[in-house]
Amino acid sequence: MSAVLEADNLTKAYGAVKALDGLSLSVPPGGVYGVLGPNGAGKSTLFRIWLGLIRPTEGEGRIMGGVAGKDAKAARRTGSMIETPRFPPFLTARQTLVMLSRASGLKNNAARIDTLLDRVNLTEAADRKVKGFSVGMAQRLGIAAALLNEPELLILDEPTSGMDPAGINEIRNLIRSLADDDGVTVVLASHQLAEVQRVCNRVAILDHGKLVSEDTIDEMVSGSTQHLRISGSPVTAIMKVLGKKGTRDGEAVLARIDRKEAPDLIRRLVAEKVNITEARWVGGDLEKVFLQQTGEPRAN
Amino acid sequence: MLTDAISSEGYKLWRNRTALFWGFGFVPLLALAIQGFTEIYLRMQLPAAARAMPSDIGRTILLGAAQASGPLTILFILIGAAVLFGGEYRWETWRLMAPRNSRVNHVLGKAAVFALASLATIFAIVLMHTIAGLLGSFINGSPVEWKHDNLAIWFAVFFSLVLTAWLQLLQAGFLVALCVVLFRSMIGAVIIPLFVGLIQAIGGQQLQAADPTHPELWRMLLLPGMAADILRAHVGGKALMGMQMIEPKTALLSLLAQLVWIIGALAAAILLFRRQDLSKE
Repeated sequence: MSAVLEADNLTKAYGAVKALDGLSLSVPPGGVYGVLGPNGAGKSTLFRIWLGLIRPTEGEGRIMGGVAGKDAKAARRTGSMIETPRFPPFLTARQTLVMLSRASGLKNNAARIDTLLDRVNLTEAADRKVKGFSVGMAQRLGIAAALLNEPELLILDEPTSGMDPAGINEIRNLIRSLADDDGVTVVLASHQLAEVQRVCNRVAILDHGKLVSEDTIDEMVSGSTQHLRISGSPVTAIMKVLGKKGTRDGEAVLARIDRKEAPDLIRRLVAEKVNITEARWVGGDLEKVFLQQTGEPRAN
Repeated sequence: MLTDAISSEGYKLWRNRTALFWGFGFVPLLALAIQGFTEIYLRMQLPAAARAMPSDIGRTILLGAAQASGPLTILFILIGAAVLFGGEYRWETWRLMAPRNSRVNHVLGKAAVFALASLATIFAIVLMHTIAGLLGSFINGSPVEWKHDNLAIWFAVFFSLVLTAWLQLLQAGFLVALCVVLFRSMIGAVIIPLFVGLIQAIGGQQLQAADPTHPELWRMLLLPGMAADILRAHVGGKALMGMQMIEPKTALLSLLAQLVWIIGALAAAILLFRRQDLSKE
């Protein structure tokens, strides 16, 4: 099967600012696909174009083979949650899902609504008005709303934003279960890079509206450089031993060396009377790759 | 499908009891209070002989229909329309709703629910008017009479008056729809039609035709409120005033002027919304 989501030379400009700048991307069917990028990288803009909420200035977005925003059938095979979900405040969680079921043309959906409320752990709050919901509860309801039409494709923008660790774990398991057991293709944006690394099969990294990297998690992480981070004193002695291979990192020093060089380095530092308080390998994770690709201190 | 959008919007409005009450339910209650005051208290001030005069319930019902789209009704209908058409902007829920149906269906669904709710409001106003009339007759000891031998004609006049009132409410509501899409604001959506109403009230005197029973089409296009009054005077003239002052041709032109406003405002709202970026509702 061809890609479930495609971006073909997409550009979206707001005046002089380009939220997307000639972005081309293809999301294959199956698994969990992560879209990463710092604030303003264009993740939400890309999702909104795919969902037909905004129109590209140039290029074309395609969803399930149809043109984004014009193919109503493709849109109905898709579930989505964009940014923090909002709901009419006077409706309860159950009424919200009933109302959305009607809007989606789903009849006699009461049993599925109960199942979904249970799946996102909102059964007890099902008949409470949404206006009293915490951000985490709203996120859960947003995910239930996205799953109403048993979608083949699920687009989630920051699905765990505002959730506690237990909630994040639940949603992570739900997403994996949707991909593994139900065969749903999940595309998600998140700034919780450790979570993305755990849950996604492939990731794309965007920066300033452009695609800077796209690969499987394994391939992407294996290509990242690990550094030995050494904390000790005096730092000048550590820098002297490392020479050009050393970089100051706050009170510590990052050593750009291979793993096999580490024992010799430690011996030399001890010989130079350096008091080493900590030496650990950093990098080799998605966060490191992200920082290398975007130059950002952290993803947002 | 459009029916899905109508079903969803209807469900949402029905659950939004505050908007339902203030937008569509308050005016009938107000009609009961005002008409009750007129029929009961003010009638009590009349001499006994006048109080005991028989009242024509058929005429009372027609008067209720003729007065159903008065300024107070329009004022509160503006609130209902603003909530109905502007809710998605206010609650930032377009991102939730828009992917579930086509944009045209979303607006048409809201328009259909507004049309049904405003029609229900008109019938509720007529009902309250009638109840107040019956109460007034009962309390003042006056007999209730039915003076309309030809029922077909009476029903034709009644439904024509209801339709005229409905057209006037649709015109106000769809203008709100256009303003909501244009300004993405519920307050703006109420203020602008109120401003248009004010301009009409002021401009009405400046643009008054030499013969107020034969205004030209352009005058009625500029003053849709006047067009509604002309149409109402035509359909209810003989039954309520005993004479027909508006010619059918003028009435048709007034109907045309109103349809231009109704269809024009809704079509413009749909066209704008179809192309609107929902980057931030």
